[in-house]
Amino acid sequence: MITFKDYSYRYKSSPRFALEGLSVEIRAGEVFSVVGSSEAGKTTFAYAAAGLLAKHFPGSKAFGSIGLSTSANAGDPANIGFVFQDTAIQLSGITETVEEEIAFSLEQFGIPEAVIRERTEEQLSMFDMHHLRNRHPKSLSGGETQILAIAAEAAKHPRVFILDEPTQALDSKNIRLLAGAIREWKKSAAIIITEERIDLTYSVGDRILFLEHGSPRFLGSLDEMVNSHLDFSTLELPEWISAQLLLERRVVSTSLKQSVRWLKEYRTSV
Amino acid sequence: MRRTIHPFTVLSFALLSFFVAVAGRRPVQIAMFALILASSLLIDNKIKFWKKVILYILPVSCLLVMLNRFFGATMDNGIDYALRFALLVTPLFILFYSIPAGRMSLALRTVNMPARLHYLFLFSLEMVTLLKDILQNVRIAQQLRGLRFEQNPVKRWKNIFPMLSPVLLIAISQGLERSVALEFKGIEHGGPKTYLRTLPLAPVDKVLISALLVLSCIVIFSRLI
Repeated sequence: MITFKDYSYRYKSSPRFALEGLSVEIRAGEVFSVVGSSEAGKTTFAYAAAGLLAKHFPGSKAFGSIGLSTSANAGDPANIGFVFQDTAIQLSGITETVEEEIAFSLEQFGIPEAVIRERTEEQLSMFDMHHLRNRHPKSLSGGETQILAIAAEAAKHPRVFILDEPTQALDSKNIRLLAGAIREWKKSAAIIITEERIDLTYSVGDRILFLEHGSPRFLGSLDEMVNSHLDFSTLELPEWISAQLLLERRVVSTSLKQSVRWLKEYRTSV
Repeated sequence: MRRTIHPFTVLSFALLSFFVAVAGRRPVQIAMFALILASSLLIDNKIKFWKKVILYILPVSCLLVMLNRFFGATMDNGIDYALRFALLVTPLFILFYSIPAGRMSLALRTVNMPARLHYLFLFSLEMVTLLKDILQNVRIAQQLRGLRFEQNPVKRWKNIFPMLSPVLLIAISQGLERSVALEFKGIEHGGPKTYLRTLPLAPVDKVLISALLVLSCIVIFSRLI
C-alpha cells in the first residue's frame, strides 16, 4: 500500500538526514511499528507516509521515492487517518461535546447522517466512552483527549491509519482498548504506529522497523527481533513488563531481548 | 433548558455599536455604552468581562483622553475618541465571553456560510484561546525557574515582554500542526457537508435582530441628514 524506495530526507534547517536509505513496503492488513529512541526519525517517517513532508516543509531535501497505491487514493484526507503526538491541538476546538467531535470530520466529508450516527456509536463503544459523550472535549483529561483524537480519526474508516506515539498519555486500560481496536482496524487498513515505549508494538505489531538516527537498523517480526544479535537497549519496555521485572526484583533496565525471553519463560511456567 | 441568546443577535448588537461609534452623536454614544454595560450583566462570564473593562478598556480610554490633551487637542476631542474606542471594543469582549466557538459554529452552519470563511473566522478566534493557554504555560514554566511576577500591573506588563518570543514561536508551530490536523478532518473538502446540528433563529431573535438593524440604519441616516 505504501512503498518507500531508497528514501532519504533532510529538513531545511538540519545538516543531517532525518531518514536515510529507507526501503520498505507497508501492506494492507498489517500493523507496521516504527520504534526507536527520540530523534530516531519516527515522526518524520510518519509524516512521510502521510505525504505531509513535501507539502508542509518547503525547502527540505528528499531523495528516492514514496508511493501510495491507488487503492489508498493517495493524498485524499478521507482515506488517511493521522493522529499527532500532541493530540490536544488535533481536536477541532469548535465542538461542544465528545460525540460532536467524533462526528466532525464525517460531517466535513458529507457522509450521510445515519452513517455518521452509526460510526459515532461504534467509536464510543470501541473505546468505552459512552459516559463521556456529552462532556466538552476541553474538559477531558490528557488520556481521554488522546483517545478522543484517535476515535475521531478512526471514525473516517481510513485505508491508511498513522498513529504517532499513540500511547504517550494512555493508562493500561486504554492501551488494551486501543490494541483491541487496532486488531479490528487492520482487517481493512494498513496501520502504522510509531513508539518509543513499545506497548502496542509488543501486543499488536506484525512487523517492526527499528530506526537509529534516521537509519533503518532492523526490519522484521518481534520474534525475529528477539532472536537477532542487535542491541535494542535504547527502547523502553512496556510499563507492565517493567513492573513485573521490578516485582521479580530483576533489573528494570534489562534489554528488550532479555525481558521478552524472560516473559516467555514466565508464561510457560504459569 | 435555559434559553440562551442567539450568536447573531449578539453580532447585530455589536454591529449597532460599531455604527453608533462611527456615526452616532455624543448622547446616543453614551446611551449605547450604558446599554452595553447593562447587557453585560446578562452574560455568564460577567466577572471576567468587567475585569477586562477595568484592566484594558478603561486605561486605554484614559490614555486617549490624556494623549489628545498632550498633543494640543481639546479634552472634548479626547473624550470623543475614548468613547468611540470603548464602543468598538466592549461589544467584542461581550461577544467573546458570551458566545462559545461551538455555538457560533452552529449558527454559521445554519446560514450555510461557505466552510472556508466559517472556519477561518472560528479558528482565528480559537487562536486567541490558544495564545492565552500558551502564555499561561510559559508563565508557569518561567515562575518555576524563579522569575517573579509582581502584583503591580505595570511590573506584570513588563514581565510579559520576555515571554512574547517563546509564546509566538510555540503558537506558530502549533498553528501549523493544527492546520494539518484540520486538513485531515476534511475542512478543505469541497463537496457538500452533512451537519447533524444547526442553530436556527427563534422568533424572538428574529425580532431583536430586525430591530437592531433598523436602529443601525437610523444611526447612519441621522448622520447623513
